[in-house]
Amino acid sequence: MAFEDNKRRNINLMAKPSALRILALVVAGGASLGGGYWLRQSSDSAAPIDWNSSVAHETLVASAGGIQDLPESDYYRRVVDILDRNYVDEHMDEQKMAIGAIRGMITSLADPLASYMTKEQFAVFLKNQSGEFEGIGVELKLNWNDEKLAKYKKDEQVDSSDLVPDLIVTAIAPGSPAEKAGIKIGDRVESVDGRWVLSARRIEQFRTNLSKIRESKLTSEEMNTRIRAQFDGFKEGMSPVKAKDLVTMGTSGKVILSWQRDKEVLKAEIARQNTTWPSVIKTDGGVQFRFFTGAEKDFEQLLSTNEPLIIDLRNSTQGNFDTLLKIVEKLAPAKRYGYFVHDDGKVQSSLESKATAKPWPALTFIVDTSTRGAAEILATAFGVDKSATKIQGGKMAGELSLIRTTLLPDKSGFAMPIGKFATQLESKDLNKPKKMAMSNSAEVQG
Amino acid sequence: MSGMGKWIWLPVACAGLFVAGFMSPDLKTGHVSAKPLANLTKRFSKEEPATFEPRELFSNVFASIGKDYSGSMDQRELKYSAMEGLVGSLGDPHTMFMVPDISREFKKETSGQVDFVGIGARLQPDPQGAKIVSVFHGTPAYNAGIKSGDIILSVNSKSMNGLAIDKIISNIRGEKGTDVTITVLRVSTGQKLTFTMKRNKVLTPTADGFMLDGKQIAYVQVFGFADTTPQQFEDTLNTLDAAKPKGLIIDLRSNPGGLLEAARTMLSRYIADKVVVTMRGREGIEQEVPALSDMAKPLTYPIVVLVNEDSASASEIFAGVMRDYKLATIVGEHTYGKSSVQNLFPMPDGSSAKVTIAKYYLPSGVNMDRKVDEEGKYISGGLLPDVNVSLNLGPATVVGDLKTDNQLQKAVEVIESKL
Repeated sequence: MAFEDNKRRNINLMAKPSALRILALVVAGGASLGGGYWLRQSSDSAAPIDWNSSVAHETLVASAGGIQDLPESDYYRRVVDILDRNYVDEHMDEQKMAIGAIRGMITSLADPLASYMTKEQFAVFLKNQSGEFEGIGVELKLNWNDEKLAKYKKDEQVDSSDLVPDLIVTAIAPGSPAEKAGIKIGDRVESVDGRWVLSARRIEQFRTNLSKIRESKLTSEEMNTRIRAQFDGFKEGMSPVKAKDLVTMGTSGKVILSWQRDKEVLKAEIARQNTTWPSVIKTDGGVQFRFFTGAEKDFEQLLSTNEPLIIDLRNSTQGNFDTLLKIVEKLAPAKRYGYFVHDDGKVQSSLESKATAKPWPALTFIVDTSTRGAAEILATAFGVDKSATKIQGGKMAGELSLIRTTLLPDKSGFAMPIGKFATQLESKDLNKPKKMAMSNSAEVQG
Repeated sequence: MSGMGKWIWLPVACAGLFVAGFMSPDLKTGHVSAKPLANLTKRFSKEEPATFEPRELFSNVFASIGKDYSGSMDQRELKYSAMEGLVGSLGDPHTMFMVPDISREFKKETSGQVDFVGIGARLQPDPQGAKIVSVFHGTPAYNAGIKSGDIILSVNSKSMNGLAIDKIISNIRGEKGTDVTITVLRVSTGQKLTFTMKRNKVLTPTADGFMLDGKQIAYVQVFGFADTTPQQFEDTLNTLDAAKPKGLIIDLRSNPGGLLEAARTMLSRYIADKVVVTMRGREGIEQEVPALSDMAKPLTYPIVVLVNEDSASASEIFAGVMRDYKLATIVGEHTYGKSSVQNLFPMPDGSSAKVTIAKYYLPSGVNMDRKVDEEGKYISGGLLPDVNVSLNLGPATVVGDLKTDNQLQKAVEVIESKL
C-alpha cells in the first residue's frame, strides 16, 4: 500500500507546477553537465595543460619573475605537449624523454665528476664499486683542462680542442691483464684497436700539419693529396668516451692498446676479463684497503685487532662513498671530522660520528697522488689528529668530492658531486650543516 | 505507466549534457582527440600506477641538482639544457629545442632577411678557423682584397682556432662603421695577409648567377631556400635567359635547404601541376604537394644540377624532382639524405621547438633517409648523382670558377654532350 502511495506521489510530483519542474530539470541538467566536466578534469589531471586556454596563459604571464622564469615542470609539459601533438611519429616514450632531459642537465654541468651513464655503463660502474672489474682491469678517468672548462662554463669563447679530455689510468686492479701488461697509474691512452684517441694534442698536431702544407709552395696536385690525407687521417679518430668503454667494459676478446708515459709510447694486445679486487689485501708493508661496497665490515675487522695499523691507500679507485660514510658514522669515535661544502660556501652536510665507539688504534696511512676519492677523504679527515694518525707519503690527488649516484627507471643513471670535503669551515661558510651525510646513493623509483 | 513514457528524454538529455560537460575543454580549443578517453580508462584501471610519472621524475632531478650540486649552475640554463636533452632523446637530428638566441637566428635565416653588418663573405668551417667560400661584390671584404679560398686565422688579433663557425661570425659582425682586422692564410701563395676594413650593411643574396666565361652556358648558384629565394632565382634566370644560353647549371652544393615552399615555387617554373613531393605525416596520413599552376616556361636547353654531401632537404627535393621528371642531370657527390619537413613551434619566452611533422617522398617514391653509423659517419642515403665526381680540393680551388672547379667543369661537359 505504501508503495502505491509513493508511486502516486511521484506522479503527483510530475504534475506539480512548472516552476519546480523546471528547477528539477535544471538541477538534473546541471549535475549531468558538471559531472561530465568533473570526470574529464580528474582523468586529465596527469595529462597536458590545455595551452590554448587563455586563462592558463594569463596566469603564467602574470606570475612574478616574468615569462623567462616559467617553472620547469610547466615548461616540460609544454614541450612534451608540442611533441605529443605534432611529432611525425605518434608513438613516443615519455619516460625516455624525461631521462633525456636528465641527461641534458647533467651534461650541461660540464663537470668532470658529473656524468650520465647508459644502462650498460651504469651496470659496470656498480660492479666497479663492488671491486669487480671488466675489460683490462683499470679505472680510467676523463681528464679535462680545468681552467679551460671553467672558461667554457662562463660562456667565454674557448678553442674547442681544449674541451677534449685526456684518458688517464687512475687505478689498476691487482692481477688484472692491465697489470700484467705493465700499465701504470698516470699512463695516457693513445690508441685503441688501431684508431687513435681524440685529444687536444692530436687536434693541435692536425692543425699544425695542415698549416705547414698550406704555407708550403707545393704544386696543386701534391698539396691536394696531402691535405686530403690529413683530413682522412683525422676522421679516423675515436672519442675518448668510446675508447674508455672499449677498455673497461666487456669480458671477452682482446683490445690492442697503445699508451703514453712521459715521452714513451708503449703498445700491447690485452685480454678483457673479469678481475676481482678484494677490499683487503695484506702485504708486508701494510694492509691495502679499498672502499668497495660492503668493505666497512672488513674495516671493522681490521680495527678489532686493536693493534697499530698501517693502511696503504695508494692505487685507490674513486670508491663507494657509502662505505666511507658508514666507516665514519658507525665505527669512528664520536666527533665531527669535517664538512662537505659547495663551491659557493653552502654546507651540504657534515662528516661526523655519533657512535659510542672506542678510539681507533694508532693508524698510519700510506698515500700518494694515486690516493683519491673516498680514500683521500678518510686520510684527510683522520690526518688532522696527528697524535692518533700519521700520514706517510706525499701529496694526494686532490679529489675530495662526495659523489652521489642515482639510478633511473630504465637502469641508466648519473653521478654528481654534492660537496667537497673540508676539515674546517672557512669564514665565508656561514650556513650550519642541516644534516649528517646519510646514505649516499639515491634510488629514484619508477 | 504511459505517463512515464514522455519523461524518457530526461535521462537521454542528462546523458547528453554529461558528454557535453566531458567534452567542454575540447569545444574551447576546437581540437578533439582520443586522449581523454585513454586518460579515463587509466583512471579507473586497477593496475598499479607507476611510482614516478616522467614529469615528476624530471622535476625531482631538476630540484635535486639545484639544491645539492656542489658547483655553479644557472637555473635557466639547466632548464634549457633539459629541454635540449628531452627533444634530443627522440634521436631525430632535425627535431630540436632551440634557446631564444638560436631561435632568433634560425628565423632570420629562413626568412631570407639575412642582412647583417659585417664584411660580406660566406664562410665554412675549417680546422684552422674558417674558410671563405665566396666574397660578394662591392662589400668591405671584396674591396679590401679578401678572396674566396682564404682561410681566416684571426679576427682583431684573436685566434679563431677551434671556434664554432657561429662564434667566428659573431666576432666578424658588429656595429656599422667600426673597424675589423682579419688575418688570412692565402693558400695559393702560402702567405699570411692582414686586412682592416669598416663593417657595413651586407645583404646576402640567396640566388645569384652569371654566364660562364667563354661558354654560352648560364650558371646559377642557389645558397639557400628562403622566402626571398624564388624571386631572386626568377630574376637571375630571366636576366640570363636574355643572353640565350645553350644550357643551364644550377649549383646547389653546400645548400643546406630551407623552405619547402620556396623549392616548390622554383620548381613550378619547370613543372606545372605535377606532384612535387608526397608528405607522410602522423598516423600515416598522406598529402601530395603539387607544383603551382601557370608558372611553367618551356624548357629550351639541357639542365645540370650540381650537388654534394652538404646539399640537403629543399636542395634534394629540387634536384630529385627535376631528375624524376627527366628535366635535369645530377652531377657531383651524393647528397645529405634529409627527407623530412619541420615546423617551428614557439614558446612564450622566445625559445622554440623545431619538430619533424612529416617525411616526404619524391615522385619516384624513393626514400632518401640518411643512415649513419654509431659515430655519425654516413653509410647510405641521399640522392645518388647521375655523374659522380668529387671536388679536387686544391689550394687555388674556388667554387664557381670554371678554371679551378672540376665539378663545374664536369657539369659543362655533360651539357655540351647533350647539345
